[in-house]
Amino acid sequence: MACIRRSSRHGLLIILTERNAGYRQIFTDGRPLPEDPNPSWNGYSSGKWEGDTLVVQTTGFRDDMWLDASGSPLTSAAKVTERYRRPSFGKLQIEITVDDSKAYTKPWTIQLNQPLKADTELLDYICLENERDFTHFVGK
Amino acid sequence: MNTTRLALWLLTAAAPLGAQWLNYPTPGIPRLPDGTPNLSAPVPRTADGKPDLSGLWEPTGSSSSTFVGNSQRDPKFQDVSLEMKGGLPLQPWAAELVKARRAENNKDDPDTHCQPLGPIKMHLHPYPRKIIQTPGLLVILFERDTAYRQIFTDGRPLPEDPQPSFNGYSSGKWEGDQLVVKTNGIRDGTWLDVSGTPLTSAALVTERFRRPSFGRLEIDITVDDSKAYTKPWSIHVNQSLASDTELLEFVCLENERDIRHLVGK
Repeated sequence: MACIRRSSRHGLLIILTERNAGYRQIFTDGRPLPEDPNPSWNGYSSGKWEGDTLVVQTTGFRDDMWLDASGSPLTSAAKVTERYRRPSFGKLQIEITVDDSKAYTKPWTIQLNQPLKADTELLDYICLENERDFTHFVGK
Repeated sequence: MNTTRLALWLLTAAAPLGAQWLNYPTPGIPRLPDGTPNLSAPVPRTADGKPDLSGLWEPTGSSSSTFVGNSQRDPKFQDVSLEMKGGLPLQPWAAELVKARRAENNKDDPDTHCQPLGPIKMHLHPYPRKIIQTPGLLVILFERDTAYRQIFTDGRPLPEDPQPSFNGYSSGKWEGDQLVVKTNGIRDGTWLDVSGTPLTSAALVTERFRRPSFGRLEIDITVDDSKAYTKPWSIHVNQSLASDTELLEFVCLENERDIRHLVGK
């Protein structure tokens, strides 16, 4: 993952991800979340600074999302709050709170730690390139 | 997906302004007294005085349609040689390849198989793209398959033995008000348009980006690929600023039902 922060004039933070060469936009220009969002994989994200923490709120996810390889669900009712902190040059911390009353009886939180990767770059990883796995997937 | 974009546009047209991001006013655009974006305003510049290419762009075309995502906007998306006198200087094997691709109804076009398109075809693609210019790096976010491309502007050299990739490896530098970008390391088998115009791993692609006014972007693209062509050739691309709208998620493989129906001869 690579994060790039734009100047306040543009009001945008983007995340480029190596996995399937995808991106995500987080608006930091003060715009509100949409009231009736078009459901999407990344949802709609708007963030603002609280001291040294960037607090990002996201709504508008699709139903039937998987949060992990074990199949933990997320629904279109979810509001996700991420708190980004960079306590030192090489360390990024993201605290994620999931508030999804359709799938969970109460909100829950996890903490991610990500170290800076120096002197390297993102590669092209195209999930569908020469894909040979799907036909071998079996359930019970 | 054009119909999706049109349908969303129709749906959101009736929604209160600000409730939907497709209609959210783009910050930082100069406006006329009536609030209309002033697209003929001077080019914005970054702190170091260079033109700022940042913005949401779509191909300029002859289409009368006013909403973004119209596939008729740049006919070179169909065939890059359309405005070229005498056609492309194809090597004999490359001319045979184009003929073979067309004879198969272009069914192997990577676009129809949800594969990445590479930098040139992406410039011609009808869906919008957002350029984000930062010190040392210019990023292009594409609506088509939510993909990105990086263009380094920190002075780094192109790699001597690049890992072949869909987008290749791009490094750019400013020459006056033009950003001149060189790209190598594009993989073999690339299609430059729907008609199957080829590009090989021998290619060195030069793009010259200019923003003559606030609402206009021009890109001159020169292809130097001695494996597929007998001499270098160039095309010119015009793009217009799309204001007060945003990128949508377009995931090519979502609920994909076409590929199994594609047939050749």
